[in-house]
Amino acid sequence: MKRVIFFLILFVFSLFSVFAGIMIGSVSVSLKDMLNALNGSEDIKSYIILNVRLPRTVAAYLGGATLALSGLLLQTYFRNPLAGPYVLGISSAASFGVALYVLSGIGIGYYGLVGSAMAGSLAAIVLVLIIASRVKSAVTLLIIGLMLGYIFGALERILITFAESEAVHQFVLWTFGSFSGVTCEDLPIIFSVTLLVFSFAVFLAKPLNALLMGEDYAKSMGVNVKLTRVAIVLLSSISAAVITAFAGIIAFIGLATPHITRLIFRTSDHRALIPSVIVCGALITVLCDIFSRTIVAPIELPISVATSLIGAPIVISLILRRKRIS
Amino acid sequence: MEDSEKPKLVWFLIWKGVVYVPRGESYVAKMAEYANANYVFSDLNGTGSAKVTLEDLLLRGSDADVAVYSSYRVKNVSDLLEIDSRLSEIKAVKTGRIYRISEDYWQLGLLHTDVVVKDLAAIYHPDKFKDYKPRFFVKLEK
Repeated sequence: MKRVIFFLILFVFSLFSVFAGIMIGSVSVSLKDMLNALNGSEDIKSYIILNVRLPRTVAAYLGGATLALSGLLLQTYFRNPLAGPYVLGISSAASFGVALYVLSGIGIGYYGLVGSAMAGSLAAIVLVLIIASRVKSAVTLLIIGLMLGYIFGALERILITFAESEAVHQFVLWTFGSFSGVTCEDLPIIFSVTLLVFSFAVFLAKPLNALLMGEDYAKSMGVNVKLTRVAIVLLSSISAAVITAFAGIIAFIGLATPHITRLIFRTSDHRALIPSVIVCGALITVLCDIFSRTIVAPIELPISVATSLIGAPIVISLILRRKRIS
Repeated sequence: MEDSEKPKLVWFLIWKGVVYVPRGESYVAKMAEYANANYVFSDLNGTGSAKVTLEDLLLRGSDADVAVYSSYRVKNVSDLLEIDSRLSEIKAVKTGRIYRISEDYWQLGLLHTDVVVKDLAAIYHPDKFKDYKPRFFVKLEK
């Protein structure tokens, strides 16, 4: 019961953070400005609220939630606290896709970037799924995933070596993640993928609990290990792929949020962890997004700076506190 | 020249919603001063460039008379709007006074700063430089 109340409090906080994300920024916004914007006022303030802040804050909310969930699934499945959404090579494959698009001079449009990142990730997902359905153990899959990451990374570096310097510059800028490029038109896509992933993840709670004791134990409990494995890989990779396509590589959220959530809620039951991780991931990412664009405004820090600088001390302090209590 | 006659200039590069602008003591800001323009990010201390938020670009750039996009990979206005459709809110993009740098800007432009400054003056004050065609800047076509 205590957990449910705590969860609800965090959920309300996370909704407040979205509200804060829309209100806080270089242009100070009052409640009246916000109502004006919603009523279709056409000044630049309203435009910024509706077309710059709203999409980036909502995207940070959904993106953070999805990345955190993806990290939780993979950490449990691999029984490795260092696993995260990018461990199966999705981010390297996405960067490779973008590298092909930008460095070969095909174009520079926003949707070209999103599409090429998506295409790269999908290629990696198909590869990883084929491997996941054949290998015997989680460790093999983990190592193969890491190796795939190195291969895509190497291909990307070959492209960089032979590319024009201005194109390389633009490509490098892509690799710093930010939710700033997301527009209102992108939100329905991000929202539907997120919703889909969340609803499937609910069915994984029980098999995940069994997997905490290892694949053999899960098998003896009657869990279809192969099907669960494919489902975990598919859901976590699709999450990582979509968010990476729209926002680039966002460090730390997927890795740290599951730890933070486990430490706060003191549980490893996935029926409680899955919704809590989703809400924590959303809240942390929105706060980090606000932090990164306001702390030295008008200059914007990369969001990964904020996620790491805020997230890492939280994890450290939670871990140390837990030690002291026990 | 009166301050009010100085055109407002915004000079930027945008990539996935993240905007790169020259700082207030950069050569771009200095050249804006020589060519009599008000550079909108002149209060950003330091040289080199800074990463600013899109909302600041739109806020300060919404009434910019002239815009320079510091890349030659954009050929026309629709290319630019493909990179980020929200740039259409910048006045200079609406009125068509948006320029890109030429392909040889980084090689030759920086050697011939006098020409670059003259180009900029012509861009900022077209009425005073009739029949002059900028060498290192290209107007983006609609």
